[in-house]
Amino acid sequence: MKDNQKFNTYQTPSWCPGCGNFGIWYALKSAYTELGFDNNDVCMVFGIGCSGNLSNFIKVYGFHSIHGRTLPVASGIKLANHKLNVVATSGDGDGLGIGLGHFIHTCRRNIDITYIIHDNRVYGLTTGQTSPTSPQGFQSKSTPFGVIEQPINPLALAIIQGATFVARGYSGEIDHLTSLIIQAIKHKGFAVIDVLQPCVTFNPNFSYPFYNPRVFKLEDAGHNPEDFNNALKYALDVNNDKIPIGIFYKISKPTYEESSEELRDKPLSEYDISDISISELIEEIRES
Amino acid sequence: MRVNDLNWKIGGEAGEGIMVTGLMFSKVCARLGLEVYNYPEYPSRIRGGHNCYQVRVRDNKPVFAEKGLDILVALNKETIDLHSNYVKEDGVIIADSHLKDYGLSERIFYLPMDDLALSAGGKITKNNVALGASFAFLSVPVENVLDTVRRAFRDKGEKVIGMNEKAVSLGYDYVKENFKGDFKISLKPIDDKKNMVLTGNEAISLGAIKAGLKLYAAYPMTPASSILHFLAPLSHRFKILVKHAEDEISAILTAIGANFAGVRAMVGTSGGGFSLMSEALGMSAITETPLVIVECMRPGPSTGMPTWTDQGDLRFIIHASQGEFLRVVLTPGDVKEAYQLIQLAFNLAEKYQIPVFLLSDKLLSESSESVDDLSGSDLKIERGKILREAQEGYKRYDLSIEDGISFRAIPPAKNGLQLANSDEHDEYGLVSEEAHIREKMLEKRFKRRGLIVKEIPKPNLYGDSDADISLIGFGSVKLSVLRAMEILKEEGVKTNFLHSLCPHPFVSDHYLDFIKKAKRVVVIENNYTGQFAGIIQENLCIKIDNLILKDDGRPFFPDEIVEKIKKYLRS
Repeated sequence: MKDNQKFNTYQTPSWCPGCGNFGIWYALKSAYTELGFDNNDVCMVFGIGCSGNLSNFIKVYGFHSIHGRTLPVASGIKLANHKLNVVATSGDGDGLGIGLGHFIHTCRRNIDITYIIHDNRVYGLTTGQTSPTSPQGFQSKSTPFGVIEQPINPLALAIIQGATFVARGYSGEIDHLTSLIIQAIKHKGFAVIDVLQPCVTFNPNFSYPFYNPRVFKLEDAGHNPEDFNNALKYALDVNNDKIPIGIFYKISKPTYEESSEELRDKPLSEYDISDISISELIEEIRES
Repeated sequence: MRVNDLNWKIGGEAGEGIMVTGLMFSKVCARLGLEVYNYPEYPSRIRGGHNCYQVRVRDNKPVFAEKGLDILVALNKETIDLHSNYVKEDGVIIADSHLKDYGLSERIFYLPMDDLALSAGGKITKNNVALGASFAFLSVPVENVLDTVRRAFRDKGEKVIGMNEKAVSLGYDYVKENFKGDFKISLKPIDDKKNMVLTGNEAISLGAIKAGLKLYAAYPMTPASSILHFLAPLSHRFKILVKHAEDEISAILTAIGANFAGVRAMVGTSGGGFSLMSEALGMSAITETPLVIVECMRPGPSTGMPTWTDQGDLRFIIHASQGEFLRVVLTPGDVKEAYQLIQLAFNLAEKYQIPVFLLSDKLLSESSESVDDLSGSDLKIERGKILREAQEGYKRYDLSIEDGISFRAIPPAKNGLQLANSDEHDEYGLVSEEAHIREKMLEKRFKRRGLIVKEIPKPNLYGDSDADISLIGFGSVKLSVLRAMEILKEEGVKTNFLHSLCPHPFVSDHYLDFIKKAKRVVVIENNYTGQFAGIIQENLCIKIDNLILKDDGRPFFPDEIVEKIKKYLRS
């Protein structure tokens, strides 16, 4: 057990006993501790849902935004001060339902943000409706006769749309998840970790007894994360009885910040704006 | 002979370069030291459809587009069909010679635009043939026109400059040789003055740069897009991150995130885009994160009339987003006010940690005016209670601070830890649903209203103290009203005008005295239901009987206001 106490707030988590969010909470604090972070070394952005309630239990700079919108807020923070470590989290409903558009566009931007999806394949805080990652046929309060649509595949989307670090974690494998988070934060570029996160209350069929015997580590299977085709093959292989966790895909590409001339000298937040001169520009307009 | 009093218009098909030519015409005049007002009209399409551009030129302000035309330049028949009725008795229509076949009006001067353009080097220079011709009628030396053309094509190389110069000269000379009549208007330079020409959106952009804008996030939408187009090429020079986001929702959230991280960030959009932004607006309010929003109105509902003007979003802006919170809505009436009020918007947003709107419309955003200088309007930058370092025990939403405005520590300030929380929260930002905390936080967020109302601009009063008619309006109706008042005065009608620069929060004292003293109050608005009149009524508990409203996508023309007011006087 690591001493993660300094990342606790005065509030105790409001999740159900056994909730997969505890594992993610613990892994995040462990990752920050192992990275040697002070509380002010990281800025986290949260969405709305059980995942978003994490905002109250982890003592860092935080922005608890609105449903589905964590990534634009995180992007704004990163662009204003690209020296900050920015970690965004959302649920599968939050981030892959209402916020799916932002997810794909953030992938294509390759901005240096770590993005953790708490993927429990159900809407928890609204007491059990289908989510974009629920399997076809899933019966829930909003789909009593079963879901008709096929689920969203966040990892495959991330790989094809330009994310440069794509991984799957499992909140039942905390040390492994901690290591993934550390690598994601160290990675320069948009790093996505889809975390299998049991919701023991509203989606008990996808809980620990389901995942424990099925998950296997990609690194043990000899997967090379730079191999795009193989990464995509693993991501698309959703009907297999074995579920891979680990890094699917990892490549090096210029980040959005590195490609932005405006950010070359220093973060935008470090500019003194008290006396900006536009008189030369005005004269150019006058003479145009 | 009339000097420096002209209303010029050019019309043709979209894609024929009408806008560029109109702007060049106005720049020649502005560089003579004259005052100009440019009013463009165009449909929501790229090719075809009717475009026109009107330039009103005078010695002095106020200057605003008026209906009666002195010169109409017609590149196609539609221009003659649509606008020749407005050409004054002593005015002239300069039409392309190919329109001769139509017979049309006697006042037409046929100019072989295509032929002259071809001999200048290409049909593409046709507009500049018309430009040269126009100034020949006005006795402006050709060198003044050539100078503007050279500047306009400066980056296009000598060949292009040469072609266009030749086109201007050919058009100019053709009129000098072939026009045998007597044209009654001339333009004379005003010494030592060289005005520039700016649109409202350019002024907003310039003011924002001056105010220290560091991030602009937007999704294209007429009539706000030209802010994006103006800022994007300047982004490297002024270190402003200009982000064309995937949608308006992303744009506003990116801007809120950036403000949270300590920079001045802004979004710009029109009503449809702002509809998408309205959920995030409340997030800016409850997290007390400053935000500046430029909303350029166009007629709705829904897609409405994308390229036309309207003041129909006032109520929407004031009430948008769930729950109750403070916001400020600033409504400039002209280019200079736009430049200054956007700077004020940033100061108010940061000092009071609230969302602040600059509400414009197509008329102000895309019309342009002559401007002598802007520097006198600059505001000192006030960033309010911002901390780059915090003390131990810091609380972001500290309830013990009397004015309700707690210090905003910027990450990664040590000891400045906080949660900006869209949930109701305690002093650290952590979620709380306790009744007493909720009450105190609401009170905290509203307490600053007293300070805000002291700092928002008062309405400006124009005109006579013993007026027969007292007008009230906000935003872009200003210039047309001022010009109408001038015309009325010449006819012996005394009017005055209270122009609101900040309809919300509504400060009763700003209006009460004016209304009490008025013989007859008339509220003038570019919308269908009289939204501002409604706001005045509900705040002052009075009844306003007289409204001048218009919502056909066009602005009020001074002549129309004059007519309406005369009607009131007769009734």
